[in-house]
Amino acid sequence: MRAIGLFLEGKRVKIAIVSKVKNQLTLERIGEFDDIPYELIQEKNLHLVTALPSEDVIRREVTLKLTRHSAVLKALPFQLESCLPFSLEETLVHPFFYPSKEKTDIVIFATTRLALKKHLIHLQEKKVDPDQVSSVPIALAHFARLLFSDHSISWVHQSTALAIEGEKIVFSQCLEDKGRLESYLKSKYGHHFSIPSELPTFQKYSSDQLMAFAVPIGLALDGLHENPCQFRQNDFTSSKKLKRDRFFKIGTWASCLGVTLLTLTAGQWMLHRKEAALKKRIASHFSASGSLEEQLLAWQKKLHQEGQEFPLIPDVPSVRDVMAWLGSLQEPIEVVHFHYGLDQYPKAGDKTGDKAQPYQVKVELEFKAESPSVAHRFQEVLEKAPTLIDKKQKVTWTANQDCYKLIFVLRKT
Amino acid sequence: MDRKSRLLQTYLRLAQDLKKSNPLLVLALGMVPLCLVIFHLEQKSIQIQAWTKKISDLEEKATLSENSKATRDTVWQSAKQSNPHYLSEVVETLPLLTPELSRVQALARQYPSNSALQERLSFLQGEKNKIRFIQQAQRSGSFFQETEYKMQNTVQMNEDDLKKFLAAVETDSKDRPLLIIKEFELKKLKEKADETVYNVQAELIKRSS
Repeated sequence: MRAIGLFLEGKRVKIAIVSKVKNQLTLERIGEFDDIPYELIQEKNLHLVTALPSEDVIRREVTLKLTRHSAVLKALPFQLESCLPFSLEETLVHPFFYPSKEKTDIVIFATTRLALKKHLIHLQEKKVDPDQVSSVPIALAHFARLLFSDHSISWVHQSTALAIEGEKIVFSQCLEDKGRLESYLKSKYGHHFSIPSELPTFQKYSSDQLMAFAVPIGLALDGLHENPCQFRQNDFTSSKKLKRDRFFKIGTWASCLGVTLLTLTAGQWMLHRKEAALKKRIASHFSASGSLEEQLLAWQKKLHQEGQEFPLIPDVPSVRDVMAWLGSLQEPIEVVHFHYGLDQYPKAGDKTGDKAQPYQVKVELEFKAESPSVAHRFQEVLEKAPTLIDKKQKVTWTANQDCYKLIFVLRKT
Repeated sequence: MDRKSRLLQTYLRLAQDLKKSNPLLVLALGMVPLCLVIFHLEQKSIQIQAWTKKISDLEEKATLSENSKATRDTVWQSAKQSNPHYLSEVVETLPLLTPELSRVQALARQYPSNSALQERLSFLQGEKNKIRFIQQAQRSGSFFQETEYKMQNTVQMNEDDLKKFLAAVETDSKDRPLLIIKEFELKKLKEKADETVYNVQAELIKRSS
């Protein structure tokens, strides 16, 4: 990742290019120009960061007794209204969240829409469209952290004073009177490490060079930071970001649409194949036209009509079948009376269109057995599969001394 | 604009900004048509499964129907070419209790004065123990005639006669018309030597063209 910090200092243009590869920061280049170095800022994959001056940005701090990020976001607008000197409609805010166990500290950098608009118009005149608009205090904080990472820092750079504790900017103020700022910092943040006028060298750059390019270097660092300050929000969003977002959205939608169409086509094709196979199965028994559902209905109707044709041949066991079955049971009983009667049967001349009456045979069997247990066993054997008895129908059993009578209905063959 | 509505607007703006920048939301929205398509395909697949099951059931029914139709056609073709006098020429001419008749004839010759023997011989040889059917109801169908017959008298049969009678009525043969036993009653009468004698009464249904 590469970022370029661009800072307009009077009529001079200062730039710094910083790259970050696997958390390793490299200050690639610094430079001061009379005009915008377009060949540099138009390089591909270079994130361009500019800064609002310190006097256009204010810092506020709010503490909320909330830890959930969504809850903090909901509560924040209510807190902002009381602590900002301008109306919320006119304000652009960038919050930094510092959550702890029971509360969340929020450091807010705010500017007005007007200030940002001015800044962007000024850049537009110079044909510059930054990807990110940060601010000078934040840039200075990043620069100070780069050189002195282990200390709580207080620093007055030109007309900007700031104090940093860890990642948090605890103080930021802009005043022409540098002496007043220095004495305020000394009194309030005397325990902090004060950045000396002689800076340590960084890579191949001297203290003077670093001091002169502190803001553009800090801006480039902010551009590479995981939580950068961005005032180009909502309708101020950069055209590049809008384009990127639009491309992402269209890409996402197109991919989803593509996958949807592919799924639909593949699914419909598979279902069509299955349907065709089913139609083929129907065609082997019955020819019909129309949709599968219509063919099924027509086939069902035809089979239903066929089922209503007069059943000439009985679908119940014959007398011979019943007698052979009883003979095969080989139980020590003596059959004394056997009656086989068609209880119901279809008759010629029955009304056409009505379903013919089914065949139903009732058998009455009287037998003698030596003991009730023999008779009972015979009944069990009768009902044991393979049986001719229709078990859905009632089996009547009566006994008179050694004579037993069974009445049952035969099942269909 | 009052304070409340201003705050609400600010909140809505913040929420909108968050939504705009959330790529997951864009992705989730993009997935909605895919989910709808999958739901539609799933529904259609369930319907096809139901149709497949229905077709299997109908195939089974169709096979059964075709088989039963084929059987019925065969039987009906055979019945149409059957002997119209099958009952009188085949069933009614079945000899009954022949072993007993031989035995009683021999004994009657030996003991001509034994009235019981004479009486039994007369029964066995006479009309009383002959199978005779009398016509009952007659009905006309769309393509066939249906006549019901009942045995005039209850007759006595041994096991062998019984088998022959049932075979003549129920077993398929070239001459046999379509005969169905409507009623069949069998009562054990006596058991003598190796022979058991039954009283038999039957009613038949004859279907012919």
